Amino acid sequence: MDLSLNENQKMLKATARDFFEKAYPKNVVREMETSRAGYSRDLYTRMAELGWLGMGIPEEYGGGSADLIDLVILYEEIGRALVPGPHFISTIVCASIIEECGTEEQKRQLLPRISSGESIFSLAQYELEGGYGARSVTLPAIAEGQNFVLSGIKLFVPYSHVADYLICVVRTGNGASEQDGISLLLVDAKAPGITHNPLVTIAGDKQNEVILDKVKTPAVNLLGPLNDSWRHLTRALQKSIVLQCAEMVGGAEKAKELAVAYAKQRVQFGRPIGCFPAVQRICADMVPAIEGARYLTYEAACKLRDGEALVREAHMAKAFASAAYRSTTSGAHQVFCGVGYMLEHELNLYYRRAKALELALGDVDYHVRQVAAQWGTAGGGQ
Amino acid sequence: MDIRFTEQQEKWKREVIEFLEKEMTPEFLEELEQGDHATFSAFSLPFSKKLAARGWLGLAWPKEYGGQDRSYIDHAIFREQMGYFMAPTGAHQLAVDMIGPALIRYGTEEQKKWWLPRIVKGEVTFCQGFTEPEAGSDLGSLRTRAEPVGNEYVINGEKAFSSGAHHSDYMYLATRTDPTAPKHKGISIFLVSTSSPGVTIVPMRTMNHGRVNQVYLDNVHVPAENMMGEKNKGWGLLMGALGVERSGVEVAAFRRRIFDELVAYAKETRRDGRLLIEDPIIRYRLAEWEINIEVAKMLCWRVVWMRSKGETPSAETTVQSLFDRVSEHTFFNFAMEILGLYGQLRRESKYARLFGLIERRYLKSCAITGAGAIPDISRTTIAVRGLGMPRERIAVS
Repeated sequence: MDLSLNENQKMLKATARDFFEKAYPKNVVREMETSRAGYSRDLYTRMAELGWLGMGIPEEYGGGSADLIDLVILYEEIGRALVPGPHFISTIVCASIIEECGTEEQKRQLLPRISSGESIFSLAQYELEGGYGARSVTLPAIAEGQNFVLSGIKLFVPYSHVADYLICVVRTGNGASEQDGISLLLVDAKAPGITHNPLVTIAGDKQNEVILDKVKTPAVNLLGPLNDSWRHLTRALQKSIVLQCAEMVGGAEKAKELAVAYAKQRVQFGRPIGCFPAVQRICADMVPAIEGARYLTYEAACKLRDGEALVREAHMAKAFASAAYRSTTSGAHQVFCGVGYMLEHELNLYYRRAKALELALGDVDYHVRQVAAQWGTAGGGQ
Repeated sequence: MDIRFTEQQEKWKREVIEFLEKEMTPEFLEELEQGDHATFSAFSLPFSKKLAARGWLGLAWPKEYGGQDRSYIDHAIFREQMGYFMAPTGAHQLAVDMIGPALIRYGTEEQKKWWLPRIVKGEVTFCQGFTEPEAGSDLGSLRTRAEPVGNEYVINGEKAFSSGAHHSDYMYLATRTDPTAPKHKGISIFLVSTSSPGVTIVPMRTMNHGRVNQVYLDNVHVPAENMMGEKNKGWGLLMGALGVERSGVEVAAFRRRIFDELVAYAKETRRDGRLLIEDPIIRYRLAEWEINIEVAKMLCWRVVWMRSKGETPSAETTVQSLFDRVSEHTFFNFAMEILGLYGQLRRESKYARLFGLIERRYLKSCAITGAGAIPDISRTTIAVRGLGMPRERIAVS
């Protein structure tokens, strides 16, 4: 039992904080929100040069083979600085899926391109129904000769408009359970028949409607077993969920710091508002929320790193950290009052981001239900 | 970073579990629940003596005082399991956690020689005598006086809400020895025999079928050598003592135990034609509580880990206890709701579930929120000590 960071991790934390503060001042973050691409190619390449895009990818595939805890540290800083762009969906989510399901050949081909930043990958999972579970995956992929042909609409696909490849979660069959018949297919994001239509979102992060009109992808682009890839996807996403929690913890921490600093300096009724118990109460309540989210995230990360494949604590952390980020930023708004509500103030960036991150990779309800899944599913309406 | 225990720690954990599995039989739990204090705060001297026989009362103490000098982590492992098994600690906890360490730090050689061996052997029991009718959260305004007369002090005053005074040998008593000094500067601590002439212990009945005590001190003579630490420097002891109160692992583990019992109950109980565990709303709420309990556990272990690194947690302890306390009532209310109509049954009823302890803890939950530090005082501590926010200026008369 040791919850400390080692020297390398402390250094990584300091380096990352410094880099992101300089590379992503809030005016840059705002520009990305309104730009079409939503990220800067140049800064993305610099992250690759620092070894941060492939940090968790095994060395033999061009990555840094870093401990998951290192990535947790990096993502706390990413959350703090609100670093926009496809780094998460490509280098964490898609890389994990390829690592989990890919053949040796696929790993050797694809992972180095992710870690070098040369290619960007995205995951096309959700559809019109908007559910997170297997039942909501309906988009068919029909085998035709050496190809699969995909037709339908995928929604909420992050940064697909700048992606080179999509991992499409598709239905290739039906079986006894809703998980039977789900496959993962690698699709050229710019293949004929694909249209990416941007969705205008609460946090200005880039998500798209992806329309697939008889899009062909070679059968060799199948990732993982045909009809039986849902469980692989679930396993691969565990790491991503934990890192997204770290991102939320980092953002919440910064929002807390903003509120506390303001409360110390803002004078009303002749004193700093931070000495009023009502204001202290708001700020003090942020602490157990953030620290609870942080240590639960660490616990989940340690368990995953130590070889547990499915970690209930990951779902717990996502549910708890989502609520913590939300309550911290809304609490901070109470401290700032009207000032924080103004668009020019940076707090609104955190408040909006909190909701976007809460919805990504499963909302609170979804993850609480995953925790409940330990008691079986009979009649449980899972 | 690593959340696993070492092999030795795992072995130690198994040893503790083995002992507790043998001792904490349902019959024993039922017997404890008949007493004045619910679950792990129950008073059982025979049980405490069994722990003493294994050397487990002095786990965290230095060897020279009869302790085992075990690490914080070992100690926390022990406490966590004690909490999970709902093992009674009322007869030893105060002595082991507060009085012993205070003696080790502030006691004279004679005091150490006399008291410490008796504490680790479980031969002497203590109650706390801090709170007074007019001195609760504002402990510094206590009024009980101690005046020197020859080799003795004569004590007069009144203490309130003292748990266990009626079955303790001594009271760890905070008194005022310099009425002219500012309120925090004239306080001294004594160990006072509860059988001294002039001590009257009157029960105060609690809402959860238990009792605490009102203790009247009327010209009670106490030998001067029973003063702990320096005269008029008692405030430091009180504050230090309150600071080491807990890492909270046992409380979090106790809640985990209740949670596990609720899950077991939901798995075997049918209501309206189906098992409770199949009801989506009940499953959801159980899962929410499991998340909360896991967070509580990690906040406790963070405090333990800091101590194990030689750091002194300050706001971190408050963060942990605030998290526990604010949810105490809602948790036991949830437990009551799981039991449904059966939740209201007291321990006397043949239909009572889990010896009626949920009903008792539900009743106690509003007091838990008040004992030690009410949440808003904890919040002030976090704001001021943890976040460096300005202290509110309170007009002091």
